[in-house]
Formats: sequence, C-alpha cells, structure tokens
Amino acid sequence: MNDFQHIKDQWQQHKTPSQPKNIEVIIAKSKNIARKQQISKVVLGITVLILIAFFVYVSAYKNTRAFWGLGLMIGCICIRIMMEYLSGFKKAGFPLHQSMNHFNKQLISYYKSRKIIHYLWTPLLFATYIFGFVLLLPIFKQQLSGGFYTYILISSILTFIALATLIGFQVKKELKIIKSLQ
Amino acid sequence: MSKKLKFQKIYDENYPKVIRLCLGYLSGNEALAQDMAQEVFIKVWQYLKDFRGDSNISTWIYRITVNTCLQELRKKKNKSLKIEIASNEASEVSEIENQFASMYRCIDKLSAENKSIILLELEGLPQKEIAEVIGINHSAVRTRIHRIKDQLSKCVKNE
Repeated sequence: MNDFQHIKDQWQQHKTPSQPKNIEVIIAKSKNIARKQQISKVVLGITVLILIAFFVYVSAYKNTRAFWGLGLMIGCICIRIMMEYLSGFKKAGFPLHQSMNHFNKQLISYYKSRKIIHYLWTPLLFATYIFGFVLLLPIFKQQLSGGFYTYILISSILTFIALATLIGFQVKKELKIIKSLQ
Repeated sequence: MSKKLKFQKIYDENYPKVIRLCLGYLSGNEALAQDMAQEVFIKVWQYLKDFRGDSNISTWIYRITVNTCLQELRKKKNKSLKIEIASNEASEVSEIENQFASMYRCIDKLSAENKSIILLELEGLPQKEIAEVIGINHSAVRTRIHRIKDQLSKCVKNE
C-alpha cells in the first residue's frame, strides 16, 4: 500500500463501525447540555447571592476590620467567578462551523486573554483574598478558642497552597493548548 | 421539513464520512471515534438553525467535524490519554487491518493542519472544498496535498 491512489481507494472502502440509528439520543444529549448550562447559571447566581447574604448576616459592615476583611474575600471570589463564567461563555460562542484556521485564530486569542487572567488577575485577586483573610485574623483570635484559631490558621494555609497548586496546573494546561494551536 | 426530519437526513447521509474522519484523527480507535462522531452530531443539531446554505452541507459538516475532533483531541492529549492504535496485537489480524494500522500511524505523525488536509483528501473532497474547510487558498491546498501525499506514501512504505 505504498501508492497514494491505492491508499485512497482502501480508505474509502474501509468498513466503518455501524451507524447508531436512533437520533433521539443525540437530541436528548443536546437538550441535556443546554439544561446543564442553565443550571450552572442559576447556581452561579445563587452562590453570589449567598456570599452577599452571609456578609449581611454576620453584620460585617458594622465592624471596619471585619468589613474590609470579609468584603475583600467575598468580593474577590465573586469577581473571579464572574470572570470564569464570562470567559467560558465567550468560548462557547465560537461557531464550530467556521473554517479551521479561523476557529484556531479565535481560540488563540481566547487563550491569550486567559493568560492575562492567569498572570495578572488571578494572582492579584488571590493576594487580595489572602490579605482579607489576614485582616480577619485578630478578630478570630479575639473571639475563638486558641485551638480553633490554630485550626483555622493551619487549614487556611493548606487550602491556599492547594489552591495555588491547582491554579498552577490549570495555567500549565492552557499554555499547552496555546502551544498546540500555533 | 421539520428540524428533526432535516437532521435525520443529514445524519444518515453524513455519518459514514464523519466517522471515517474521526477514525483518522483517533488512529482507528473505534470506540473513541463513535463518541466523537456523536459529539459532532450534537453540534450539528445545535447549529442547524445557523446553516444558511452559503456552502455545501457536506462542507459545513466537515468544518464542524474537523473543529470538534481537533478540540476534543487537544483535551484528551492534555489528560495524557493515550490513543490506541487500531492494530491489535491479536494473532489473527488480517493484512488489510495491518495496512490500516500503519496508515493511521503515519497520519498521526502529521501536524494537525496537514492531518486534516490529508484526511479530507482521502475522503475524496474536492480541493476547493478542502480549502473552504481549512481556511487557506486553493493553490496552497494543492501544494500542501502534493507534499503530504509523498510524505504519507513514503511513511506507509517504510512501515
């Protein structure tokens, strides 16, 4: 099979796996995807509302230090969630029925904008989030038992390390995608 | 014609082309290719309302197939998911299956763009349509096909 025409003939005669007859499965899956997208929008909205409600519930606005601490932490989470949502929404909007090169150009520009999120916004928001947490520490120390304060401190440090590692992996993954597109 | 009937017709007419292309991208792995073909037709169903008939329906389907397959492949490669070559190590593998296995291996060595071009050429798509699917001009496609054909033939011969 060393002649191209022969390769082509063989290719077109190649027996392919049998075709599933039922298109209902495809239609149902498509509707399911749309439903899941709707659910994530609702979950996102509820998360932001819960965070704001929590802020009001603990009356953080009455105490300046707690206001800034909790406000910064909740604000950072809300901003980052919205960024991620808008970014995903942008990518989902790229039509797949355009030419491969055009589609790739859109993907490259998308992942470049993700680099700005990863290298600028994420570290900035992450640092602000930690700063907000540090602001809350004296309040925790004052109001919680010594053991529980130590627990919060250690578990938070471990969470920050895990989060930073996770972000690092995500950035690495997306950088690989950009490389494969170029 | 209702959307469902229109989709059924498109599905019946284009499934073999789509699955062959998916098999080419996935080195002949049938299970993965079937999943990917299903993914392609989910997209076709979602985008069907956007098809205005500016190009052939087959060109439109091929564009969705190429973009979906490459996107899925990028995801899978990132998860370090190894693609199995169709050639099973089983003793009773026919000569033709061996030939296909070596062909898939050779196609897999090509870049994403060259792989797409040659898979469409193997499908017998006119070069003008290949240019429309890939998004480069007709003469560039002609030159590129000539080069890849030589590369592929040599590789298959040496396999």
